[in-house]
Amino acid sequence: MANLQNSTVTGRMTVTGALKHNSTGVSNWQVLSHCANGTDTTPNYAGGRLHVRTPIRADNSHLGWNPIIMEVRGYHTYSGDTTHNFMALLNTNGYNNSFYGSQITADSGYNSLPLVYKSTSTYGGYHRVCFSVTKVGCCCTGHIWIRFWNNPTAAYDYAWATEGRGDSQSSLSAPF
Amino acid sequence: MADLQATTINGDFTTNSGKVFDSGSSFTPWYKLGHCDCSSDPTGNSDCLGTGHPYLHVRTPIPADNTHSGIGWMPMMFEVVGYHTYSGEKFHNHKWVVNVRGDNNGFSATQLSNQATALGWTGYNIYRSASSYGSKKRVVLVVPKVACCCTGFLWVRWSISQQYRNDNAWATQHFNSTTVGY
Repeated sequence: MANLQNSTVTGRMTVTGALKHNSTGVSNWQVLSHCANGTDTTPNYAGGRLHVRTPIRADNSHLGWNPIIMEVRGYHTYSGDTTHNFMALLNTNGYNNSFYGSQITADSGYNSLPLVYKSTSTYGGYHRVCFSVTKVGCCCTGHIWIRFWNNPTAAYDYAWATEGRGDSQSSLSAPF
Repeated sequence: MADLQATTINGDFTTNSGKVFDSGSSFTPWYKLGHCDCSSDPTGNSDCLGTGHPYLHVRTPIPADNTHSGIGWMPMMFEVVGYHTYSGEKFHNHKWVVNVRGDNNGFSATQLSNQATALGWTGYNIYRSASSYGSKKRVVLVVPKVACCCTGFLWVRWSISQQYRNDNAWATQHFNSTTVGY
């Protein structure tokens, strides 16, 4: 692994992995697809909601009165039947480690209906921050991008995962 | 200092303490600041005492003067993202076009959008400093805050004129006005 000091690249620099600009406090964008497998296949093609499990630990080891902004953008289907554009403040109570639920402080896009929640199971020893948004029941084109503001190294703590479900914003059927 | 030509990195590229200046995009890296001010007010108002003023003024290094900087007729996108307090009582996601007229040196900051917050534009402003810092007047950003040293950060970046990122020191101070400060 190259370990560079001050460097100048005159020309194009291509990074095939992630560009982790940690000193700014902002993570890189993680891109995911809406096309997901699902144990709940009603409606067909993995349901009407996309659930995303992020690497952020939903406890004081990553949060704890030191909130992280989660920013989400994206679209699903060729005509953008749903578009995502929201920011949520992720936080836990530093006293008792309880997770603050969905604090959507931003525009929610079009037909996105975002919901942020804490995983029921643990992954790598920790509960993780998850969210769900509306998707269309097809494997049409459409991507979703997520990045975090504050504590950017938390974004690389664990694997991402997605799953389709037939639940709704008001009736959570947490797959994770 | 390594001086590389076109480069491909097969894997991750991590910067831990330095910055990536993406000159090709014209956007600066995000600059991270805090909201807390416990010492700057001569009357003793302090966020540490819960008596802080409601507005944080961020003095950027950007010259707001056509005479010195030559930024006249060269508008830049100016963005701020952030939050203040544990529950995000203040939440920033705002953009401006900042410009200096080339003919008469007039300063303008046009509100572009408050795309993300229910707060709208209440408590936000961008103005040209009344005083000079490093012999130039500077672009000052104003955001609302809560009178406490609660957790909360804000990030600032702009397009065009990356060279001004280090033209002068950054500074923050709380004030009781959205228009008068630096």
